[in-house]
Amino acid sequence: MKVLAAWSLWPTAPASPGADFCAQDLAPLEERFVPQRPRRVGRHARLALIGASACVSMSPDGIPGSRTGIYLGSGIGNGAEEGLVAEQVIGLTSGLAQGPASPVHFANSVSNSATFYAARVTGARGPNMVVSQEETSFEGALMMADLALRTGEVDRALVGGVDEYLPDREGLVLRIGMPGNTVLGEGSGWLLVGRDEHETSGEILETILLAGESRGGHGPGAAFDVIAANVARLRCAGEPVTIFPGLRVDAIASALLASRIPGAKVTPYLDRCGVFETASALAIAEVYGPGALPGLYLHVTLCRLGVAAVLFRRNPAYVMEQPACG
Amino acid sequence: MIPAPVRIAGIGLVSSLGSGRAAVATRILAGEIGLHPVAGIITPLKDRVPVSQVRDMDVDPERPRNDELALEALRQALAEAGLQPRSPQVAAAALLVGSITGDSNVSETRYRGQLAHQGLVPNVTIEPPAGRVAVRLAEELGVAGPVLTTCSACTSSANAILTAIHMLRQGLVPRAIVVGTDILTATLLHGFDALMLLTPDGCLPFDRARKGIQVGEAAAALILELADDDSRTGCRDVLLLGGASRCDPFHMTASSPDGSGAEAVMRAACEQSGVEPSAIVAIKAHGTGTPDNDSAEGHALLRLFGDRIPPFASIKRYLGHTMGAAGTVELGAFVGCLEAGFVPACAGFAEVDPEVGVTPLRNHAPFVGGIVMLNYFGFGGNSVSLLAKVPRGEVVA
Repeated sequence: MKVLAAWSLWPTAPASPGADFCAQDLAPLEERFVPQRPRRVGRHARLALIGASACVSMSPDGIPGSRTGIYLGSGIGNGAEEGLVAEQVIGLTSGLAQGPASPVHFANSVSNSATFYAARVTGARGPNMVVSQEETSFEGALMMADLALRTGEVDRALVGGVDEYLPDREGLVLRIGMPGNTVLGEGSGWLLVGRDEHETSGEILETILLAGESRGGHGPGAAFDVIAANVARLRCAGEPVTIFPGLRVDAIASALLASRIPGAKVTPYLDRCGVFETASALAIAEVYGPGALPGLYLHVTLCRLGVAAVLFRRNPAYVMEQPACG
Repeated sequence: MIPAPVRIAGIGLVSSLGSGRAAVATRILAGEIGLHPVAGIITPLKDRVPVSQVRDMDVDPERPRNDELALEALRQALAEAGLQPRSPQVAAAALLVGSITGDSNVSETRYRGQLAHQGLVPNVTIEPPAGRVAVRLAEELGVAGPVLTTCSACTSSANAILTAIHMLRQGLVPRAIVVGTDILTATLLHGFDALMLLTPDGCLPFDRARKGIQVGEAAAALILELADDDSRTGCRDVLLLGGASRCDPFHMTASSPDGSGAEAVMRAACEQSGVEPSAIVAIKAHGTGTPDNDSAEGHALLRLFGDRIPPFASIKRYLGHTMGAAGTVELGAFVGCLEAGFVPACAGFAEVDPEVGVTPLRNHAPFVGGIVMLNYFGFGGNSVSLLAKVPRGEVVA
């Protein structure tokens, strides 16, 4: 998949060491990228709308609406809206709350409300998908977009990874399955990808989802061998390789993987955005922004089922026009 | 070039009309409908709104009910395809799950307990969404290929089927396991009630007096393989020819009233499958029984087929609207009927809506084989249309 545009919204740095990353004020970004913002939508949808719209705004020729699909990965989904509806309904049915559930909150709690609004605003009328596969949601969205491009179902795809920070910190940590002292964050990372374009800032070369590779206490070694073999196959002579260690890839696992890829440099990034299930979208989108160096990149996540990896390249010559972002 | 068809090597089905597609088809043939009072869910709606629940499996609020339904559907599908869980064939497969409810029955039970002890708890975080169901199913089956969960409202598992077709055609995996599963919860019931979409009489698809949906729960599993692999047994002659997925973002809860959005996806499905609309011999409509959906879908059928709409029916009065599971569930049940030799009647339909002007099947019709269309529409403008080739049925109704 050729990368035609990319945009990412990173959270604000925490107020003190060990604190969670702060939620950004979205209003200025909406004013810039979503001037006709739908009213009464939740934060998850707002994050998605800003990212998708900003990404489209960077494409010089826009998008072919009927031939563009939206593929959004989200681990938590619109959890805040879902929680609100659950509060209303269970409160009501337990005799502790008055009045019915809010129809607006229920409609917005539907799994694909964020992509619905994104389709409305961007004009994308192709497939409209939400992948909710925990830590591999963004990788799954990339895989689905790649399939749709290969089969000719779409000519272009907006691929996003969006997760919002939820006020119930304890519940959020449990849901992600991380230790209680994990520093949490949120963000919205988007790519506009195509298939046959020539002058692009780079390409997504491979998305690898290996379930079962770390089952039974065997560790991720076998999966890392598969990933390293793919790197060796795709790497140009002398090309630098950067590894982004994603969720659950600690220093030991990073070193284990780097040892299989000669000259690879490990560049942690979760300390810049906090932990959330689609943080990989931010790391990958940032590579196509200003300042990133050309080369081969590898993002790796260890998930409940195994290992997810994305291999991607930033081209040397092309510099993408980048709007001011968060 | 017409893309390679995909064979359905196995189908498993758990529904309010029973388990197994042949058994469900027999009950549909007899005119039974799966419509009962709400069971196992604490709600003041239980005496007002009948639903389509799976009644032959225990309702245990402490356990993820989607797992229980999906595993039974998977057991049937794998057996028909001649596959064993944890075998190399299953390990090499992709698992695609379409669902929207995840572990929400467990979540509701937990939150209700919290309320009893602490009073109202703000900012509740609900249990993991459907992705966690897929993880547990993959662990149970020993799947080592890609595992993905699609959450696109009521087209979730229809989109999972399409993704599986793409994966097989691109050679990503030799086999795909597709599961659609969704359960009834208090949150869903009251959410649809808030939208004033529930009806006390069950749904009346395409009828002039239709008022709303009949919510249901069910699970169905499909084993899909490229049709050029002739090594499997089962319902080998049912072929998926392709399909299309589109977004018609007219309104969060309604398609374009003129049917243009629904027409676009049906037309795209025909083009991508290399099928002329005139070759279609029967249609499984989405037909929710809401004024908006059935009007838009009826207009779309008129736009695409003119005055030659093939025999069509919604099967939601038999099984309920099973939400994200509808993709695999309605495919399984519809194929079951066709294999039994009949296109099912559109139960609940009596009088033509003059504002739409389409007439679904009033009675079961004989099915003599051919290409059928299956339509699915959902909140958020999601639209999916699939085309399948089904051989002549064995019993003519």
